[in-house]
Amino acid sequence: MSKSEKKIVLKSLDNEAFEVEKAVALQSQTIWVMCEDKCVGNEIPLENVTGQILAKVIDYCKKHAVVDGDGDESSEELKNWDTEFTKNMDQSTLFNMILAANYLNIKSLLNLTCQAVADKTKTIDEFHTFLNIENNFTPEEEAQICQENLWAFDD
Amino acid sequence: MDRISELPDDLLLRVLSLLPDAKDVVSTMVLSKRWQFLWMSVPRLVYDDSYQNIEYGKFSRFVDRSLIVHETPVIETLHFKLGKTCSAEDLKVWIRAANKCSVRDLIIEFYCPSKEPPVIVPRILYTGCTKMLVKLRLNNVILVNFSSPVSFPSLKTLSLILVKYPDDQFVSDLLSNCHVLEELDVERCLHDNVTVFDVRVPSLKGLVFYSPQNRDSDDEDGYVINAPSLEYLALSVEDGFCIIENEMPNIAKAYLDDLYPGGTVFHRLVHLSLCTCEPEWLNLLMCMLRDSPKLRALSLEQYYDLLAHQTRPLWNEPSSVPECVLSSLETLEWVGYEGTKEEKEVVGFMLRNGSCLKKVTISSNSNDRDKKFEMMKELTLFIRRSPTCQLAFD
Repeated sequence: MSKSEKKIVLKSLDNEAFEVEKAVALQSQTIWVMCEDKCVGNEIPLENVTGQILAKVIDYCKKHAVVDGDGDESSEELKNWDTEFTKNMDQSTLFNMILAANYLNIKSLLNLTCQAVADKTKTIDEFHTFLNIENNFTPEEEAQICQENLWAFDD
Repeated sequence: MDRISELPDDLLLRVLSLLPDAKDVVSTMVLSKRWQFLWMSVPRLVYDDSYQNIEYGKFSRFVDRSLIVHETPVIETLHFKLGKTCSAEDLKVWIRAANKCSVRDLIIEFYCPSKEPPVIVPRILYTGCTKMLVKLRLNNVILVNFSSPVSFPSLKTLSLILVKYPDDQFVSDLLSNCHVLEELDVERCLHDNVTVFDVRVPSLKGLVFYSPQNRDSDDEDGYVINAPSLEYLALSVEDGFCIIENEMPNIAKAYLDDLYPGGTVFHRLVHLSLCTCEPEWLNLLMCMLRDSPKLRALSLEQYYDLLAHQTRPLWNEPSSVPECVLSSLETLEWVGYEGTKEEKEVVGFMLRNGSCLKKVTISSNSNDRDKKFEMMKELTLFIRRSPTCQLAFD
Protein backbone atom coordinates (compact mmCIF):
# COMPACT_ATOMS: atom_id res chain seq x y z
CA MET A 1 0.00 0.00 0.00
CA SER A 2 1.50 3.35 -0.95
CA LYS A 3 1.57 6.20 1.50
CA SER A 4 -1.26 8.11 -0.16
CA GLU A 5 -3.59 5.10 0.06
CA LYS A 6 -3.13 5.04 3.80
CA LYS A 7 -4.70 8.47 4.08
CA ILE A 8 -8.24 9.45 3.46
CA VAL A 9 -10.02 12.80 3.27
CA LEU A 10 -13.29 13.33 5.14
CA LYS A 11 -15.40 16.24 4.06
CA SER A 12 -17.98 17.75 6.37
CA LEU A 13 -21.39 19.19 5.62
CA ASP A 14 -19.89 22.70 5.65
CA ASN A 15 -17.08 21.63 3.31
CA GLU A 16 -14.31 21.37 5.80
CA ALA A 17 -11.77 18.72 4.75
CA PHE A 18 -9.89 16.52 7.21
CA GLU A 19 -7.06 14.28 6.12
CA VAL A 20 -6.78 11.28 8.42
CA GLU A 21 -5.14 7.88 8.52
CA LYS A 22 -7.35 5.21 7.06
CA ALA A 23 -7.02 3.10 10.21
CA VAL A 24 -8.45 6.01 12.18
CA ALA A 25 -11.40 6.59 9.87
CA LEU A 26 -12.31 2.94 9.46
CA GLN A 27 -13.55 2.75 13.04
CA SER A 28 -16.69 4.16 11.46
CA GLN A 29 -18.62 1.28 9.96
CA THR A 30 -20.28 3.73 7.58
CA ILE A 31 -16.94 4.91 6.19
CA TRP A 32 -15.72 1.34 6.11
CA VAL A 33 -18.64 0.31 3.91
CA MET A 34 -18.10 3.35 1.65
CA CYS A 35 -14.45 2.42 1.21
CA GLU A 36 -15.33 -1.22 0.51
CA ASP A 37 -17.81 -0.16 -2.15
CA LYS A 38 -15.02 1.66 -3.93
CA CYS A 39 -17.63 3.98 -5.38
CA VAL A 40 -15.97 6.87 -3.67
CA GLY A 41 -12.47 8.07 -4.31
CA ASN A 42 -10.09 9.15 -1.64
CA GLU A 43 -12.47 11.84 -0.49
CA ILE A 44 -15.53 10.90 1.50
CA PRO A 45 -18.38 13.37 1.80
CA LEU A 46 -20.19 13.21 5.12
CA GLU A 47 -23.37 15.11 4.57
CA ASN A 48 -24.78 14.88 8.05
CA VAL A 49 -21.85 16.10 10.12
CA THR A 50 -20.52 19.62 10.57
CA GLY A 51 -16.81 20.35 10.66
CA GLN A 52 -16.94 21.30 14.33
CA ILE A 53 -18.44 17.93 15.30
CA LEU A 54 -16.36 15.94 12.82
CA ALA A 55 -13.18 17.37 14.35
CA LYS A 56 -14.27 15.98 17.74
CA VAL A 57 -15.20 12.63 16.24
CA ILE A 58 -11.77 12.42 14.61
CA ASP A 59 -10.11 13.26 17.96
CA TYR A 60 -11.97 10.35 19.47
CA CYS A 61 -11.08 7.97 16.64
CA LYS A 62 -7.41 8.94 16.76
CA LYS A 63 -7.31 8.17 20.47
CA HIS A 64 -9.06 4.85 19.94
CA ALA A 65 -7.19 3.69 16.84
CA VAL A 66 -5.57 0.35 17.53
CA VAL A 67 -2.01 0.77 18.65
CA ASP A 68 0.15 -2.00 19.91
CA GLY A 69 1.10 -2.24 23.49
CA ASP A 70 -0.42 -4.11 26.33
CA GLY A 71 -4.05 -3.76 27.12
CA ASP A 72 -4.54 -3.06 30.78
CA GLU A 73 -2.76 0.21 31.33
CA SER A 74 -3.90 1.78 28.12
CA SER A 75 -7.51 0.75 28.69
CA GLU A 76 -7.47 2.52 32.06
CA GLU A 77 -5.96 5.57 30.43
CA LEU A 78 -8.50 5.44 27.60
CA LYS A 79 -11.34 5.37 30.11
CA ASN A 80 -10.05 8.52 31.78
CA TRP A 81 -9.60 10.16 28.43
CA ASP A 82 -13.18 9.27 27.49
CA THR A 83 -14.51 10.77 30.71
CA GLU A 84 -12.62 14.00 30.10
CA PHE A 85 -13.75 14.02 26.48
CA THR A 86 -17.46 14.21 27.30
CA LYS A 87 -17.23 15.92 30.68
CA ASN A 88 -17.75 19.49 29.59
CA MET A 89 -19.81 18.97 26.47
CA ASP A 90 -22.99 21.00 26.48
CA GLN A 91 -26.37 19.61 25.62
CA SER A 92 -26.25 20.64 21.98
CA THR A 93 -22.75 19.24 21.35
CA LEU A 94 -23.69 15.94 23.00
CA PHE A 95 -26.84 15.80 20.92
CA ASN A 96 -24.86 16.35 17.70
CA MET A 97 -22.21 13.84 18.77
CA ILE A 98 -24.89 11.19 19.31
CA LEU A 99 -26.31 11.85 15.87
CA ALA A 100 -22.84 11.78 14.29
CA ALA A 101 -21.84 8.56 16.09
CA ASN A 102 -25.09 6.99 15.00
CA TYR A 103 -24.74 8.13 11.37
CA LEU A 104 -21.08 7.13 11.18
CA ASN A 105 -21.88 3.93 13.06
CA ILE A 106 -19.14 4.08 15.67
CA LYS A 107 -20.60 1.93 18.40
CA SER A 108 -18.23 2.77 21.22
CA LEU A 109 -18.63 6.50 20.65
CA LEU A 110 -22.40 6.13 20.54
CA ASN A 111 -22.29 4.32 23.86
CA LEU A 112 -20.00 6.89 25.37
CA THR A 113 -22.13 9.86 24.35
CA CYS A 114 -25.41 8.22 25.37
CA GLN A 115 -23.81 7.31 28.70
CA ALA A 116 -22.79 10.94 29.14
CA VAL A 117 -26.41 12.03 28.70
CA ALA A 118 -27.62 9.31 31.08
CA ASP A 119 -25.05 10.37 33.69
CA LYS A 120 -26.31 13.93 33.63
CA THR A 121 -29.99 13.09 33.85
CA LYS A 122 -30.69 10.85 36.78
CA THR A 123 -33.80 12.60 37.98
CA ILE A 124 -36.80 14.04 36.19
CA ASP A 125 -35.70 17.56 37.15
CA GLU A 126 -32.28 16.96 35.59
CA PHE A 127 -33.98 15.77 32.42
CA HIS A 128 -35.89 19.02 32.24
CA THR A 129 -32.97 21.28 33.10
CA PHE A 130 -30.04 19.66 31.27
CA LEU A 131 -31.93 18.46 28.22
CA ASN A 132 -34.44 21.31 28.12
CA ILE A 133 -37.25 18.85 27.71
CA GLU A 134 -40.42 20.82 27.61
CA ASN A 135 -43.27 19.37 29.59
CA ASN A 136 -46.22 19.61 27.23
CA PHE A 137 -48.72 17.91 29.50
CA THR A 138 -51.39 20.03 31.09
CA PRO A 139 -51.32 19.80 34.89
CA GLU A 140 -54.52 17.72 34.69
CA GLU A 141 -52.96 15.27 32.22
CA GLU A 142 -49.85 14.88 34.36
CA ALA A 143 -51.92 14.30 37.47
CA GLN A 144 -53.91 11.67 35.63
CA ILE A 145 -50.78 9.78 34.49
CA CYS A 146 -49.49 9.74 38.05
CA GLN A 147 -52.88 8.63 39.34
CA GLU A 148 -53.07 5.78 36.80
CA ASN A 149 -49.52 4.64 37.59
CA LEU A 150 -49.42 5.02 41.32
CA TRP A 151 -47.12 2.00 41.61
CA ALA A 152 -44.43 3.87 39.67
CA PHE A 153 -44.35 6.92 41.92
CA ASP A 154 -45.03 5.21 45.21
CA ASP A 155 -41.96 6.12 47.29
CA MET B 1 -34.34 24.19 22.78
CA ASP B 2 -35.49 20.63 23.35
CA ARG B 3 -33.43 18.92 20.67
CA ILE B 4 -32.96 15.63 22.46
CA SER B 5 -36.63 14.78 22.00
CA GLU B 6 -36.08 14.98 18.23
CA LEU B 7 -33.78 11.97 18.33
CA PRO B 8 -35.24 8.80 16.89
CA ASP B 9 -36.72 6.27 19.32
CA ASP B 10 -33.82 3.85 19.16
CA LEU B 11 -31.35 6.51 20.31
CA LEU B 12 -33.57 7.69 23.15
CA LEU B 13 -34.03 4.07 24.22
CA ARG B 14 -30.28 3.70 24.24
CA VAL B 15 -29.98 6.65 26.62
CA LEU B 16 -32.77 5.33 28.83
CA SER B 17 -31.22 1.89 28.99
CA LEU B 18 -28.10 3.44 30.51
CA LEU B 19 -29.95 4.93 33.47
CA PRO B 20 -28.83 3.21 36.68
CA ASP B 21 -32.24 2.23 38.03
CA ALA B 22 -35.51 1.10 36.45
CA LYS B 23 -37.26 3.57 38.74
CA ASP B 24 -35.62 6.42 36.85
CA VAL B 25 -36.55 4.84 33.54
CA VAL B 26 -40.20 4.39 34.44
CA SER B 27 -40.56 7.88 35.84
CA THR B 28 -39.68 9.41 32.45
CA MET B 29 -43.31 8.81 31.48
CA VAL B 30 -44.16 12.23 32.90
CA LEU B 31 -41.41 14.13 31.02
CA SER B 32 -43.51 14.99 27.99
CA LYS B 33 -45.83 13.40 25.47
CA ARG B 34 -42.85 12.33 23.39
CA TRP B 35 -41.52 10.28 26.31
CA GLN B 36 -44.77 9.00 27.79
CA PHE B 37 -44.58 5.43 26.44
CA LEU B 38 -40.90 5.08 25.55
CA TRP B 39 -39.95 3.50 28.88
CA MET B 40 -42.02 0.42 28.02
CA SER B 41 -39.56 -0.49 25.26
CA VAL B 42 -36.26 0.00 27.08
CA PRO B 43 -34.09 -3.08 26.48
CA ARG B 44 -32.04 -2.94 29.69
CA LEU B 45 -33.54 -2.66 33.14
CA VAL B 46 -31.80 -2.56 36.50
CA TYR B 47 -34.05 -3.13 39.50
CA ASP B 48 -32.17 -2.02 42.55
CA ASP B 49 -33.53 -2.72 46.00
CA SER B 50 -30.15 -3.11 47.65
CA TYR B 51 -29.76 0.43 48.95
CA GLN B 52 -33.36 1.28 49.62
CA ASN B 53 -35.13 0.60 52.79
CA ILE B 54 -38.62 0.56 51.47
CA GLU B 55 -41.61 -1.15 52.87
CA TYR B 56 -42.05 -4.83 52.09
CA GLY B 57 -44.12 -5.33 48.97
CA LYS B 58 -43.58 -1.91 47.42
CA PHE B 59 -40.49 -2.91 45.53
CA SER B 60 -41.89 -6.21 44.30
CA ARG B 61 -45.11 -4.49 43.24
CA PHE B 62 -43.04 -2.02 41.23
CA VAL B 63 -41.11 -4.80 39.48
CA ASP B 64 -44.29 -6.81 38.81
CA ARG B 65 -46.17 -3.90 37.29
CA SER B 66 -43.37 -2.53 35.16
CA LEU B 67 -42.46 -5.97 33.78
CA ILE B 68 -46.10 -6.80 32.97
CA VAL B 69 -46.60 -3.70 30.84
CA HIS B 70 -43.18 -3.88 29.22
CA GLU B 71 -43.60 -4.13 25.49
CA THR B 72 -40.26 -5.07 24.07
CA PRO B 73 -40.08 -8.58 22.68
CA VAL B 74 -36.44 -8.74 23.68
CA ILE B 75 -35.16 -7.33 26.94
CA GLU B 76 -31.44 -7.65 26.48
CA THR B 77 -30.47 -7.23 30.09
CA LEU B 78 -32.45 -7.75 33.25
CA HIS B 79 -30.50 -6.99 36.37
CA PHE B 80 -31.81 -7.50 39.90
CA LYS B 81 -29.90 -6.08 42.82
CA LEU B 82 -31.97 -7.35 45.67
CA GLY B 83 -32.09 -6.59 49.33
CA LYS B 84 -34.01 -8.34 52.03
CA THR B 85 -37.50 -7.44 50.90
CA CYS B 86 -38.01 -10.03 48.23
CA SER B 87 -38.61 -13.75 48.31
CA ALA B 88 -38.18 -16.82 46.15
CA GLU B 89 -41.84 -16.43 45.21
CA ASP B 90 -41.13 -12.95 43.76
CA LEU B 91 -38.13 -14.31 41.87
CA LYS B 92 -40.31 -16.96 40.31
CA VAL B 93 -42.67 -14.35 38.88
CA TRP B 94 -39.80 -12.24 37.57
CA ILE B 95 -37.90 -15.09 35.97
CA ARG B 96 -41.14 -16.09 34.26
CA ALA B 97 -41.43 -12.53 32.93
CA ALA B 98 -37.80 -12.72 31.82
CA ASN B 99 -38.62 -15.87 29.87
CA LYS B 100 -41.48 -14.11 28.17
CA CYS B 101 -39.19 -11.29 27.08
CA SER B 102 -36.42 -13.66 25.91
CA VAL B 103 -33.84 -12.04 28.19
CA ARG B 104 -30.25 -12.66 27.07
CA ASP B 105 -28.39 -11.29 30.02
CA LEU B 106 -29.78 -12.11 33.45
CA ILE B 107 -28.18 -10.95 36.67
CA ILE B 108 -29.57 -11.91 40.06
CA GLU B 109 -27.64 -10.51 42.99
CA PHE B 110 -28.60 -10.50 46.63
CA TYR B 111 -27.14 -8.07 49.08
CA CYS B 112 -28.51 -9.40 52.33
CA PRO B 113 -27.07 -9.09 55.80
CA SER B 114 -24.97 -12.20 56.30
CA LYS B 115 -27.16 -13.59 59.07
CA GLU B 116 -30.11 -13.93 56.70
CA PRO B 117 -30.10 -17.20 54.76
CA PRO B 118 -29.60 -16.73 51.00
CA VAL B 119 -32.61 -17.14 48.74
CA ILE B 120 -33.17 -20.32 46.73
CA VAL B 121 -33.30 -19.69 43.00
CA PRO B 122 -36.59 -21.19 41.75
CA ARG B 123 -36.28 -24.12 39.37
CA ILE B 124 -38.05 -22.17 36.65
CA LEU B 125 -34.61 -20.69 35.89
CA TYR B 126 -33.64 -24.07 34.44
CA THR B 127 -36.69 -24.56 32.26
CA GLY B 128 -37.80 -21.39 30.55
CA CYS B 129 -35.30 -18.83 29.39
CA THR B 130 -32.46 -21.30 29.27
CA LYS B 131 -32.40 -21.44 25.50
CA MET B 132 -31.93 -17.73 25.01
CA LEU B 133 -29.65 -16.82 27.92
CA VAL B 134 -26.21 -15.67 26.80
CA LYS B 135 -25.02 -14.27 30.10
CA LEU B 136 -25.97 -15.33 33.60
CA ARG B 137 -24.65 -13.93 36.83
CA LEU B 138 -25.74 -15.19 40.23
CA ASN B 139 -24.58 -13.70 43.48
CA ASN B 140 -25.29 -14.98 46.97
CA VAL B 141 -28.04 -17.49 46.14
CA ILE B 142 -28.72 -21.19 46.56
CA LEU B 143 -29.08 -23.47 43.55
CA VAL B 144 -31.11 -26.65 43.95
CA ASN B 145 -31.29 -29.96 42.11
CA PHE B 146 -33.54 -30.43 39.15
CA SER B 147 -35.14 -33.61 37.87
CA SER B 148 -33.00 -33.66 34.72
CA PRO B 149 -29.55 -32.21 34.06
CA VAL B 150 -29.59 -28.46 33.71
CA SER B 151 -28.48 -27.08 30.38
CA PHE B 152 -27.98 -23.58 29.01
CA PRO B 153 -27.35 -24.10 25.30
CA SER B 154 -26.61 -20.46 24.36
CA LEU B 155 -24.78 -19.42 27.50
CA LYS B 156 -21.40 -17.78 26.86
CA THR B 157 -20.69 -16.07 30.17
CA LEU B 158 -21.43 -17.48 33.60
CA SER B 159 -20.63 -15.96 36.98
CA LEU B 160 -21.24 -17.97 40.13
CA ILE B 161 -20.39 -15.70 43.01
CA LEU B 162 -20.87 -17.01 46.56
CA VAL B 163 -23.35 -19.60 45.34
CA LYS B 164 -24.35 -22.74 47.26
CA TYR B 165 -24.94 -25.91 45.29
CA PRO B 166 -26.71 -29.19 46.01
CA ASP B 167 -23.56 -31.29 45.48
CA ASP B 168 -20.47 -31.99 43.33
CA GLN B 169 -22.44 -33.70 40.61
CA PHE B 170 -24.69 -30.69 40.07
CA VAL B 171 -21.72 -28.39 39.41
CA SER B 172 -20.04 -30.87 37.14
CA ASP B 173 -23.24 -31.44 35.10
CA LEU B 174 -24.13 -27.78 34.95
CA LEU B 175 -20.76 -26.76 33.54
CA SER B 176 -20.33 -29.64 31.16
CA ASN B 177 -23.81 -28.97 29.75
CA CYS B 178 -22.94 -25.42 28.75
CA HIS B 179 -21.55 -26.32 25.37
CA VAL B 180 -20.66 -22.85 24.14
CA LEU B 181 -19.52 -21.35 27.45
CA GLU B 182 -16.52 -19.04 27.00
CA GLU B 183 -16.17 -17.13 30.25
CA LEU B 184 -16.53 -18.57 33.73
CA ASP B 185 -16.10 -16.63 36.91
CA VAL B 186 -16.37 -18.54 40.18
CA GLU B 187 -16.00 -17.23 43.69
CA ARG B 188 -16.60 -19.98 46.19
CA CYS B 189 -17.99 -19.50 49.66
CA LEU B 190 -17.83 -21.45 52.88
CA HIS B 191 -20.04 -24.52 53.11
CA ASP B 192 -21.00 -24.50 49.44
CA ASN B 193 -21.57 -28.29 49.55
CA VAL B 194 -18.94 -28.98 46.91
CA THR B 195 -15.87 -31.07 47.62
CA VAL B 196 -14.32 -31.36 44.18
CA PHE B 197 -15.19 -28.47 41.89
CA ASP B 198 -15.09 -29.92 38.41
CA VAL B 199 -14.64 -27.51 35.48
CA ARG B 200 -14.81 -29.50 32.27
CA VAL B 201 -15.61 -27.08 29.47
CA PRO B 202 -13.91 -27.58 26.10
CA SER B 203 -15.13 -24.21 24.75
CA LEU B 204 -13.91 -22.17 27.75
CA LYS B 205 -11.60 -19.23 26.93
CA GLY B 206 -11.47 -17.35 30.21
CA LEU B 207 -11.52 -18.72 33.74
CA VAL B 208 -11.40 -16.73 36.93
CA PHE B 209 -11.48 -18.98 39.97
CA TYR B 210 -11.32 -17.71 43.50
CA SER B 211 -11.54 -19.89 46.54
CA PRO B 212 -10.96 -18.13 49.85
CA GLN B 213 -8.86 -19.21 52.77
CA ASN B 214 -10.42 -21.05 55.70
CA ARG B 215 -12.84 -23.08 53.67
CA ASP B 216 -13.44 -26.33 55.51
CA SER B 217 -10.14 -27.57 54.36
CA ASP B 218 -9.83 -31.26 54.02
CA ASP B 219 -7.53 -33.48 52.00
CA GLU B 220 -10.34 -34.38 49.67
CA ASP B 221 -11.09 -30.77 48.88
CA GLY B 222 -9.95 -29.41 45.57
CA TYR B 223 -10.77 -28.85 41.97
CA VAL B 224 -10.22 -30.25 38.51
CA ILE B 225 -9.83 -28.16 35.38
CA ASN B 226 -10.17 -29.52 31.90
CA ALA B 227 -10.33 -26.58 29.53
CA PRO B 228 -7.98 -26.99 26.58
CA SER B 229 -9.07 -23.76 24.81
CA LEU B 230 -8.28 -21.49 27.73
CA GLU B 231 -6.66 -18.15 26.84
CA TYR B 232 -7.00 -16.33 30.13
CA LEU B 233 -6.59 -17.90 33.54
CA ALA B 234 -6.71 -16.34 36.99
CA LEU B 235 -6.43 -18.77 39.88
CA SER B 236 -6.47 -17.82 43.49
CA VAL B 237 -6.97 -20.87 45.60
CA GLU B 238 -5.89 -20.99 49.20
CA ASP B 239 -6.52 -24.61 50.11
CA GLY B 240 -7.06 -27.96 48.44
CA PHE B 241 -5.56 -29.87 45.57
CA CYS B 242 -5.69 -28.89 41.94
CA ILE B 243 -5.60 -31.12 38.92
CA ILE B 244 -5.22 -29.69 35.48
CA GLU B 245 -6.05 -32.54 33.18
CA ASN B 246 -4.82 -31.26 29.89
CA GLU B 247 -2.41 -28.87 28.25
CA MET B 248 -3.55 -25.31 27.78
CA PRO B 249 -1.43 -24.19 24.86
CA ASN B 250 -3.46 -21.03 24.12
CA ILE B 251 -2.98 -19.28 27.44
CA ALA B 252 -1.94 -15.70 26.73
CA LYS B 253 -2.55 -14.10 30.11
CA ALA B 254 -2.33 -15.67 33.53
CA TYR B 255 -2.63 -14.64 37.13
CA LEU B 256 -1.49 -17.23 39.66
CA ASP B 257 -0.82 -17.17 43.35
CA ASP B 258 0.55 -20.28 44.94
CA LEU B 259 -0.38 -22.90 42.47
CA TYR B 260 1.54 -24.31 39.59
CA PRO B 261 -0.44 -26.12 36.92
CA GLY B 262 2.66 -28.16 36.02
CA GLY B 263 3.49 -29.92 32.83
CA THR B 264 2.27 -27.39 30.31
CA VAL B 265 4.38 -25.23 28.06
CA PHE B 266 2.59 -21.91 27.63
CA HIS B 267 3.60 -21.10 24.08
CA ARG B 268 1.35 -18.08 23.85
CA LEU B 269 1.61 -16.68 27.34
CA VAL B 270 2.77 -13.07 27.05
CA HIS B 271 1.45 -11.49 30.22
CA LEU B 272 1.91 -13.11 33.62
CA SER B 273 1.01 -11.80 37.07
CA LEU B 274 2.10 -13.62 40.19
CA CYS B 275 1.38 -13.03 43.82
CA THR B 276 4.36 -13.08 46.17
CA CYS B 277 2.40 -13.78 49.36
CA GLU B 278 2.93 -17.50 49.59
CA PRO B 279 6.25 -19.04 50.60
CA GLU B 280 6.28 -21.02 47.34
CA TRP B 281 6.09 -17.99 45.08
CA LEU B 282 9.72 -18.09 44.06
CA ASN B 283 9.47 -21.70 43.02
CA LEU B 284 6.29 -20.93 41.07
CA LEU B 285 7.95 -17.98 39.37
CA MET B 286 10.93 -20.02 38.20
CA CYS B 287 8.69 -22.82 36.88
CA MET B 288 6.49 -20.37 35.00
CA LEU B 289 9.49 -18.57 33.49
CA ARG B 290 10.89 -21.90 32.33
CA ASP B 291 7.58 -22.91 30.75
CA SER B 292 6.59 -19.60 29.13
CA PRO B 293 9.04 -19.07 26.28
CA LYS B 294 7.21 -16.05 24.78
CA LEU B 295 6.58 -14.06 27.96
CA ARG B 296 6.79 -10.28 27.41
CA ALA B 297 5.42 -8.78 30.62
CA LEU B 298 5.81 -10.02 34.17
CA SER B 299 4.22 -8.44 37.20
CA LEU B 300 4.80 -9.45 40.78
CA GLU B 301 2.59 -8.20 43.51
CA GLN B 302 2.26 -8.75 47.24
CA TYR B 303 -1.37 -8.55 48.24
CA TYR B 304 -1.03 -9.25 51.94
CA ASP B 305 1.88 -9.01 54.32
CA LEU B 306 3.77 -12.16 54.98
CA LEU B 307 3.40 -13.49 58.49
CA ALA B 308 6.54 -13.23 60.58
CA HIS B 309 6.78 -16.95 61.20
CA GLN B 310 6.38 -17.89 57.54
CA THR B 311 9.55 -19.30 56.06
CA ARG B 312 11.09 -17.20 53.35
CA PRO B 313 11.86 -18.90 50.09
CA LEU B 314 15.46 -19.67 49.24
CA TRP B 315 16.95 -18.42 46.01
CA ASN B 316 18.77 -21.00 43.91
CA GLU B 317 20.43 -19.69 40.79
CA PRO B 318 18.88 -21.75 37.96
CA SER B 319 21.28 -23.88 35.96
CA SER B 320 20.14 -22.26 32.73
CA VAL B 321 18.50 -18.91 32.04
CA PRO B 322 14.87 -19.29 30.94
CA GLU B 323 14.28 -18.65 27.25
CA CYS B 324 11.84 -15.79 27.79
CA VAL B 325 14.35 -13.87 29.91
CA LEU B 326 16.89 -14.16 27.10
CA SER B 327 14.61 -13.45 24.18
CA SER B 328 11.26 -11.86 24.92
CA LEU B 329 10.75 -10.37 28.38
CA GLU B 330 10.37 -6.60 28.06
CA THR B 331 8.79 -5.38 31.27
CA LEU B 332 9.04 -6.32 34.91
CA GLU B 333 6.76 -4.64 37.39
CA TRP B 334 7.05 -5.27 41.11
CA VAL B 335 4.51 -3.91 43.56
CA GLY B 336 5.19 -4.28 47.28
CA TYR B 337 8.92 -4.86 46.94
CA GLU B 338 10.58 -5.14 50.33
CA GLY B 339 14.20 -5.57 49.41
CA THR B 340 14.57 -8.99 51.06
CA LYS B 341 17.48 -11.20 50.12
CA GLU B 342 15.55 -13.37 47.70
CA GLU B 343 13.80 -10.37 46.12
CA LYS B 344 17.14 -8.74 45.43
CA GLU B 345 18.41 -11.98 43.93
CA VAL B 346 15.42 -12.13 41.56
CA VAL B 347 15.78 -8.53 40.37
CA GLY B 348 19.53 -8.99 40.01
CA PHE B 349 19.03 -12.15 38.00
CA MET B 350 16.51 -10.50 35.68
CA LEU B 351 18.62 -7.42 35.05
CA ARG B 352 21.78 -9.47 34.57
CA ASN B 353 20.20 -11.81 32.03
CA GLY B 354 17.26 -9.97 30.48
CA SER B 355 18.50 -9.12 27.02
CA CYS B 356 15.27 -7.46 25.87
CA LEU B 357 14.27 -5.67 29.06
CA LYS B 358 12.97 -2.19 28.39
CA LYS B 359 11.43 -1.20 31.66
CA VAL B 360 11.71 -2.41 35.22
CA THR B 361 9.37 -0.69 37.67
CA ILE B 362 9.79 -1.39 41.36
CA SER B 363 7.56 0.08 44.01
CA SER B 364 7.81 -0.34 47.74
CA ASN B 365 5.11 0.13 50.35
CA SER B 366 7.62 1.23 52.92
CA ASN B 367 7.22 4.66 54.49
CA ASP B 368 10.79 4.69 55.69
CA ARG B 369 12.67 7.10 53.41
CA ASP B 370 16.11 5.88 54.40
CA LYS B 371 15.14 2.29 53.76
CA LYS B 372 13.72 3.22 50.37
CA PHE B 373 16.85 5.12 49.47
CA GLU B 374 18.92 2.11 50.45
CA MET B 375 16.77 -0.18 48.26
CA MET B 376 17.07 2.18 45.33
CA LYS B 377 20.83 2.39 45.71
CA GLU B 378 21.16 -1.37 45.71
CA LEU B 379 18.98 -1.69 42.61
CA THR B 380 20.88 0.85 40.56
CA LEU B 381 24.12 -0.98 41.22
CA PHE B 382 22.95 -4.15 39.50
CA ILE B 383 24.50 -4.97 36.15
CA ARG B 384 22.04 -4.56 33.30
CA ARG B 385 22.44 -6.72 30.24
CA SER B 386 20.01 -4.74 28.17
CA PRO B 387 21.51 -1.35 27.37
CA THR B 388 18.10 0.23 26.83
CA CYS B 389 16.60 -0.98 30.10
CA GLN B 390 15.08 1.76 32.24
CA LEU B 391 14.77 1.29 35.96
CA ALA B 392 12.07 3.17 37.83
CA PHE B 393 11.73 3.11 41.61
CA ASP B 394 8.79 4.43 43.52
